[in-house]
Amino acid sequence: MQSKRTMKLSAVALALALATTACGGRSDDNASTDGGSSGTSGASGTTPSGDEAFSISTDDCDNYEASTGVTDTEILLGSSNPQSGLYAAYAELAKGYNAFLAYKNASGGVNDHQVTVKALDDGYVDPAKSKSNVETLVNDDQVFGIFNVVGTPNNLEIRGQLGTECVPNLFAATGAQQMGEPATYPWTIGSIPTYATESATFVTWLEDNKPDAKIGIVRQNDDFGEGYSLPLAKAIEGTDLTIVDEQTYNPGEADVSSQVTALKNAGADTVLVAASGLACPNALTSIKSQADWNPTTYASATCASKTLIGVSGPAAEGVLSAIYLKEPANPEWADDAGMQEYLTEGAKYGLSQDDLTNGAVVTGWNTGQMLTDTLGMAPELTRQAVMQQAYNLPGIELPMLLPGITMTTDGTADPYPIESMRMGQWNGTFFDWVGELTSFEGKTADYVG
Amino acid sequence: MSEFLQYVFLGLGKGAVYASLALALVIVFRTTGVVNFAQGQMALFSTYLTWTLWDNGLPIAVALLVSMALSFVGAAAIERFFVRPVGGAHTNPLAVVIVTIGLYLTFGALALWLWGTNAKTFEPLFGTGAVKVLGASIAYQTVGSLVVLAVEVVLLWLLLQRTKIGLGMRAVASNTESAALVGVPVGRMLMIGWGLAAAIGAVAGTLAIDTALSGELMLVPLIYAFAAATLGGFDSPLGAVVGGLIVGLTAELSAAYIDAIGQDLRMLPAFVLIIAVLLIRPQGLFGRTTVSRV
Amino acid sequence: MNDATTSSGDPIADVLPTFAVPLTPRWNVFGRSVQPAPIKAGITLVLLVVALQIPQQLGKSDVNLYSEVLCLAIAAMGVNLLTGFNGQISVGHGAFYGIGAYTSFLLVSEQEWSFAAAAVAAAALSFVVGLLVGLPALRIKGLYLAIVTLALAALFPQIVIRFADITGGTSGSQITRQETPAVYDFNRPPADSGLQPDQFRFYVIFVVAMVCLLLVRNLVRSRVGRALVATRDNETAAEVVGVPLARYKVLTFGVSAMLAGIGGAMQVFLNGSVNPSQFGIELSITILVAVVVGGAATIVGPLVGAFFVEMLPTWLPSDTPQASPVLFGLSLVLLMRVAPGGVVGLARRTWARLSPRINGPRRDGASPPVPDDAAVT
Repeated sequence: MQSKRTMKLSAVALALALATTACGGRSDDNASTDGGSSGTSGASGTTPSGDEAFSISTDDCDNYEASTGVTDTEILLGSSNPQSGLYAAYAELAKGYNAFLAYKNASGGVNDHQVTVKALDDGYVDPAKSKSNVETLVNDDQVFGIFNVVGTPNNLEIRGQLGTECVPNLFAATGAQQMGEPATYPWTIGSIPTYATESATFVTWLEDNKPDAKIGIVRQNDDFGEGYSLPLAKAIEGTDLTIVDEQTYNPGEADVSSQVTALKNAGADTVLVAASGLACPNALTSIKSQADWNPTTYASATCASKTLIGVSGPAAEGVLSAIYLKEPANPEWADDAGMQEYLTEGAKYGLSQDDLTNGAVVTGWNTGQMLTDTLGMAPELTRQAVMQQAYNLPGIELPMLLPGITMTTDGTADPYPIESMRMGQWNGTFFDWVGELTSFEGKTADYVG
Repeated sequence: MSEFLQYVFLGLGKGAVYASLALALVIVFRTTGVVNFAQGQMALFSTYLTWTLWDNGLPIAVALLVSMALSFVGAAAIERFFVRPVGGAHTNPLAVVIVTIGLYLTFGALALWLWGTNAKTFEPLFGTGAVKVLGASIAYQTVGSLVVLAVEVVLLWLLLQRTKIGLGMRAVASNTESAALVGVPVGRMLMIGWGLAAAIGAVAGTLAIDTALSGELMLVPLIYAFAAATLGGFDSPLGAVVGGLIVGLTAELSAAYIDAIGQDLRMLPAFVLIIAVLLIRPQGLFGRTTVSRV
Repeated sequence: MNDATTSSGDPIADVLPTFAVPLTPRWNVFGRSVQPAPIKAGITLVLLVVALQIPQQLGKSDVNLYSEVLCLAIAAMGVNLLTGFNGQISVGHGAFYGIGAYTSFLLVSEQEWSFAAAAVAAAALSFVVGLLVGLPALRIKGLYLAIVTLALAALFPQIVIRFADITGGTSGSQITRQETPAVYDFNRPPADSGLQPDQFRFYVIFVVAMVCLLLVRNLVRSRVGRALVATRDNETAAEVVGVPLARYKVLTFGVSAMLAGIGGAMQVFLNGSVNPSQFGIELSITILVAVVVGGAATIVGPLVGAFFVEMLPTWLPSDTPQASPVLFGLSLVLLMRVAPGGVVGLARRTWARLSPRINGPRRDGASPPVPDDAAVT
């Protein structure tokens, strides 16, 4: 009898549940409808002048909205970065661009619009968290676009949906070459030079300075590490340079002494270290501690950060890296206008002395400028126009870029904003020049492995 | 030959770190029956304490001793206020596991919160030099670690087998009720067990330092330490040390000489080794078989 | 059945139904077959209605969050079966979850299977791998099994990365309209359903979760279920009584792995992507935490636990992001102090203490059994 009554009650309740499901629900006016509704492009897509200019269509968008996140006085962007956990150091980029934006906003912002970036924490390790952050920002916070999301897998996770919804994913904080694929993902663009550009710069330098080098690679066992090794292999084709051994280590490992030993045993006289975290200083000290071995050593940009290089102590002396931004510790820029502006205004808008000398903060400051310049140059403040502008940057000089480097893009022909770097050698305080500015403008795609 | 020897020395060096953390795990288990999942992160926290003292001028050995004392007290308090109220390891093992997991998360995140995520310059306890042996070089740190391990094992043996406190700890671990009935202060023994393990953990963390200290220091060693303790037998300090060295050597040599494994799957041989040992000898190499009454 | 109320002079007791009894499981040790069915049924139906309303009332982000809760809950049901009811501790089910996820993802994205078929294949593969792991587990007991499964959990992402050609390696793999248009619709609602993608996914995952829940519930309440619990409490005695230990233990491993695999497949249905970092030690730990926080060896524990584990971080203040994980860890520690039997255990104890006040004293004068959290039934 109990069970019968229970069943009756269940049936009634179930019916009630289904009935209530049918009527009364949430208002989905801003939600993307499904079933391939061709988006009514809110604004007439104004293509930039020049019939060769790369243009982005909004015909296939899921409910394209041109100016969400833009009011008469404000432009709101969203970001997802690791503010907690082991990788919180990557969030220092945000310190840089927030300081720059505060400075810029104080003098009127971009065409009288204040630019703000709302960043949510994703801890870096789980790309699904980045995705849900981005969804929250786009759907609930109604941001104009996504900006400077940290991490390769994180950006790969979000670019599909942002692409179908036609929301800009601007200036991703990763050197992965996938950030420059406008043929498939026109709504995503990178910011920093790719790992391929770094490798190519190193190879060019080797051709000039050590043309028969035997290269050993110690890299992280993931796409970040491969982002260096594959282009390196491609770049040395046709030269006398050879790769004698390639050793990997798992992300999170702090000890790579075995890998370094293996490289020495393989006869390498040049070493490329593509690492992050504690593996960086460990690699450098391991190399230095080997008896009778003094290889030319290149450290990836992630290892060349102020903290990791500093922690390596004397083992870092003589280490090479490819540079594209002016370093605050380099006296060459002491009277430079851009550096002065950075140091003065940065301090005024929240950066401490420690922050100011941090390369990640400089990078963030520079990326903030990339953003405001792009927004300012766009013919109108619509998503389509801004994204098209990002892929049609006409060789802009930025105050913190090395002289001679410009920000240039040209759709599929040249999808990477910055492709020029210069080799420097660590002297204990900064990277001193050992080579000339090498430009791979428009050529990065050739090295993509 | 020198190449092989070099890998052996590297394996011993890493194995020493795994062994010292395994030792801490074994002490906690031996005295309280709890598997402390948080041992690695507590060791990390202790190492940050050591670093802070060293950074403020204390010589590293002194800093380590002070940190060991602080860790002892802190861990004893944790046992008293957070672990014991949940029920012993025998009455509610799952809840205790969750407590240790909670501690694992807490200590890791607390270290990041208090000291930031940037790596800190630090130096190995025994300096950065190395001594040449037969064409390969063995770091002072490796030699020093092995000596420290040996000393720890001897001291622990003396403590457990030759002192009254040790007797009390063994009694509590073997049969808590009977021990209480004969007057052994059970609570105090449990606290001492945790405190001792934490002090050993502090040493382990400092031994793991090469050039720098950062939040990821103890993450990988913890897995290997579990493997080492399992291999050696969870109730044997000697087993922990031997297990740690074997695990370190196995990982190192198979990574270097077996291409299919390479450096990225270096955990695999250790894993296989443990399974093999457990299938043949479920209590580990040096563990004691427990005979249970039906 | 239950006794009628005496007129105890307590007006509430006189009015309330007599069958408001403590929620103890069916084979109550005190010998009486106590049926809490109507109260439980009532609560269940209310929750069902609430659950079905979630996609209607809440925004996309929240709906997706609840879908994630359900995926975790399915995996937690698996671990609960193995660890809670059968006493085999596993800290490695993240690997089975990952196997389910990658299998279903690759079959859909590479082989263009329908998702339903891919999910079934994923469940089957997880089941088989679970059996394979369960075999050596027969010899490895308790603590050591926990450690071996922990090592398995640590190895899984590394193996995925090793086979990057197939799995996509550390970048993971994503199904997007741009690159895999043929299968892009695999987790999108049919055009005439009137549902948004997030709503559709929630309903599908919800149905699957409920089916798994019923499966576990029936298994646990059957003879096999009793045998599993007997094995957990006293293996030798169970064997003496005739429980085919090896067979049941291995099968339980298989079924629990299968449930974790289904959870993984559901996550792929939700996200349309995979990444090895999602299936490492952290996931295995999260699943175990969900089981214990909810209440091990209870039917609804996994659901409650998954809810808490996913929601707790969102309840914590977010001005200092670095503090959030500290608070989460502390919450776990303190929660175990307050409720060692998990949330469901706490609910039962509270109910058992309140019930005399509501019902009046029992006719036989005995006090209602207060469930002992430590001795989980």
